[in-house]
Amino acid sequence: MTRELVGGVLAILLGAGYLAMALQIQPSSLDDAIGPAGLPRVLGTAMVLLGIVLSVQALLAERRRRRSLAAGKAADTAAEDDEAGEIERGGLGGIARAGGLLAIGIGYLLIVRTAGYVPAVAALIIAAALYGGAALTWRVFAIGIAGAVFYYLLFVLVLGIPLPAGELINYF
Amino acid sequence: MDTLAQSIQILFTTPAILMASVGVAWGILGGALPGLSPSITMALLLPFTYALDPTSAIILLASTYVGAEYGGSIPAILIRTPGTNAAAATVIDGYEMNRKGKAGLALGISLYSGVIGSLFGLVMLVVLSEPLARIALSFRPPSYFALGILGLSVIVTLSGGSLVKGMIAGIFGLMVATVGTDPVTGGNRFTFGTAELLGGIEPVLVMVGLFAVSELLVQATQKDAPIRVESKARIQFPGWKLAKRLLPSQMIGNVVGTFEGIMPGAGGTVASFIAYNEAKRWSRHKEEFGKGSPEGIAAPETANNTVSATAIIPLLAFGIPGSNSTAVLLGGFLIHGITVGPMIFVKSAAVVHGLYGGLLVASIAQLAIGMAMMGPCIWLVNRPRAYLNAFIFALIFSGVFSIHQSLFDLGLVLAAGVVGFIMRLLNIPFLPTVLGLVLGFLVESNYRRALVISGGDHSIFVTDPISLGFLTVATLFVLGSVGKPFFAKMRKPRLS
Repeated sequence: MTRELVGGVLAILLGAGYLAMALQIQPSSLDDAIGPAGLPRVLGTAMVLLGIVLSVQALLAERRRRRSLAAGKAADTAAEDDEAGEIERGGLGGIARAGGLLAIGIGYLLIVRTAGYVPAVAALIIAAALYGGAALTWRVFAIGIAGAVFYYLLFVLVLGIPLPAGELINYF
Repeated sequence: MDTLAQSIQILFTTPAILMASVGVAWGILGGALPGLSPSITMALLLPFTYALDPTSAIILLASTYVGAEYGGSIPAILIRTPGTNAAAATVIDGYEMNRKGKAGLALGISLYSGVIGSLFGLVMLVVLSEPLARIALSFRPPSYFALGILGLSVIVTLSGGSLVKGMIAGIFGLMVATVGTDPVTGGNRFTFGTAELLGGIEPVLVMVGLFAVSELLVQATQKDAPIRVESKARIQFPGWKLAKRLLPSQMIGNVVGTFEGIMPGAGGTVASFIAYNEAKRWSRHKEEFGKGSPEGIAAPETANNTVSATAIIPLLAFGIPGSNSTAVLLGGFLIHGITVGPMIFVKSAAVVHGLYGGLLVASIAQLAIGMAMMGPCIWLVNRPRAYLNAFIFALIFSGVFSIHQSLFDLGLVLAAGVVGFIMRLLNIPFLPTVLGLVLGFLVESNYRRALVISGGDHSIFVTDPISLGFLTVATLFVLGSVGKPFFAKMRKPRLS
């Protein structure tokens, strides 16, 4: 399945889901001629149509590529040199690595209210650095804690922005 | 003269000078880091601007843009890796000069040309913005709708090879813009019963997610390739004779940068390459291009720095961002409740004058800050990528949380980051999404208001002369862009 086909299918699903929700918008006595559902319906329909166009383009391109291969000609692989090609070269492992970083971010969201800003940011920096390939030494922990303290000083003391103190502090 | 006096007054009565200097310094650092584009560097600052007054916030962001354009040339010259897309043309001769042991001079030419470009761009910004905005003052709802359509028509030039993908991205942005309270009736749409979505999804959250978070996710997919920069590089400015030789290529850069900055969708990268090409064409030393020509650095660096100011013209005059960086700048205006467009010169004149003054300081301060930041830039570029990304990740989380102290916002930013990652994986451009998001409200609300005025008669969009003009230009723009490859194909056989 090519990138274009995946994009086309995703656009169709997104457009269809959005359109289904747009059709459920209830009319009200305040509505103008177009109403709150007017634009969403147009957008949902357009997204589905564009998704279909992209999918058809992808299928036709794939057919052309197969014919060229069958005829012994070199297939066109120009698109592989772009950024998407670079991500793709990382393979599923690469995408999983991005998922791992995302999980670290979600982990931060889950602990910050309880742990408080400084411990949560220190954990975030340490986890993200280790995940990015930093060696597991005392240095990474020191940098993580120093970074969290630096950000705390910057946001809370310099900029006066309140950040979560956390619940752990109540136990001390 | 009034504008100048007011700009200078704002400089000395607000923290504008400090903000301009901080912005340039941050921009140079961000621009010097390969992978951080000017827009990402600006987007990282967006959450901080909540805590600032509007003038300081806008100066900080605009100065970051100025600094980032120069910063991009540092790794381009030292390690043959452009820090920003616009610095790609600088690699050609900049790195060649470095190989000949003239890295300091190459950096000096880049910095000095950048200052000339920024100053010229600023003059154009001051001279052109207000007259254009005066025309826009006579706009009515149909004109605003047509203006929004003109803004959206830029999508065809930003689609990067696939118009369908560009349109999908644009419609996705318009879809996101429909979340929240309906602009005419006040009813709720796509809020899923969540109170946090009633006010809609703030463009700033989407931008930070799309630009910054997705970049970190993309970098996570790739193996860390250690970068080593020679730490002895010191800036050396060109002498009088060389400065005279560089002048024509800098003028070419100024002219190209002005046109490309005003043209929505073109931006610094296109300007740099066109300026490089034109400088080579008009140079008396054509043979040196590609082998370390000083003009090969001066032309693109002047052009992309000119664009950093002239790209703000359509934003201020019409409220239309023509590039990623100006879209982020628009985010800065929106954060402070300032509506960009013609009325900004009436309702928020102090902010505009502050912006002019701040850009003046940024352009001049760039010389001193550029020299001072050389060491920190080299130090930063040499840091392990794992630590850099971890700190950027923490900065994003801290900054976004500080906007509304909301974890929901952080979730939205992460979601936007995932969407951005998928878009990059599928080769779908970002800017159409940002354009759709920021222009969605303008287009929908004015379309419906125009129809309320006309009693549902669509002919109002062609009987209003301004609307007709914009719609015609938009149509020509789309036809021209779509038809370009077709005409090129038709010309080919004739040429051969």
